[in-house]
Amino acid sequence: MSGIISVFFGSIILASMAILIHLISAYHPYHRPVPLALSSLATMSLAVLALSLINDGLSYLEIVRSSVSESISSLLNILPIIYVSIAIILLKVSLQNRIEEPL
Amino acid sequence: MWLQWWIVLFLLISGYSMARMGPAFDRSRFGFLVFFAGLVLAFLPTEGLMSSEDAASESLRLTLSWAIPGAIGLYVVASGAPIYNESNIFKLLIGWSLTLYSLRAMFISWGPDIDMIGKTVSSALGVTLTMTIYLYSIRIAESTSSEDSVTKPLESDEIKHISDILLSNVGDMEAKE
Repeated sequence: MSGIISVFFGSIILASMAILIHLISAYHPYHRPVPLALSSLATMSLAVLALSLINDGLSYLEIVRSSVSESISSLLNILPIIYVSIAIILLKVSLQNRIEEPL
Repeated sequence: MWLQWWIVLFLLISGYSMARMGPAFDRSRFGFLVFFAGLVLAFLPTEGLMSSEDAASESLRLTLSWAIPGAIGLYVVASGAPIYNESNIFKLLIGWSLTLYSLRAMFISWGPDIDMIGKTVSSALGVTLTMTIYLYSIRIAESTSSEDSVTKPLESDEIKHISDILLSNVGDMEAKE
């Protein structure tokens, strides 16, 4: 059970980190990233705090490293489902021919 | 060094973000290179990882080993699929060969169990919750933003530039008629 909770908060930290990296990498003058960065930082901090309550004796860095890497492993398991879905759609597209409609 | 594993993640996310900025921004040209650097770094050996990081690193390598040929295969299939009833058989054959190879490799390495499904669902919920908070933050940021001031009128050189473009296009249209 603790593994599932750890992965849940880890994925929140991972997604918040990804949003922060995205905001920094894709910054442009027509964008106002500060409110979004603050909300992501707040979400990430709350998740780290929640994990620190579950994992006594571990530093914040160790908590982040272990929970985020566990969540990455879990999220990668979704990829095969997405991949097979796209392959099925493309199989249909490859096989079907549009019926010619006389104008 | 354990930091290498985190640099890989940073480069992959950063490269993708830069690439999707579009051609209006010069930075988008480097997006693919940054993403590619992340992919190369992901396959280099890493030391000093925690057990969970080691597992995630191995899992990422396994996923990339079938996802890279798979993505190329699906792209080739999509480009060879029938458009107006004309398909490119050569592209379809190459694309489906790559796709079938990657599907085979994927099913060999993928072994779902109850524990894994539970963790996957949990992580998907975490990501969904974070994205929901992010979308609400965008909504709040947009609703509280001040209205744009009145746009300044065009300067004389801008008026001349736009007039030249319009006259050139009107001239082309008249010539076609």
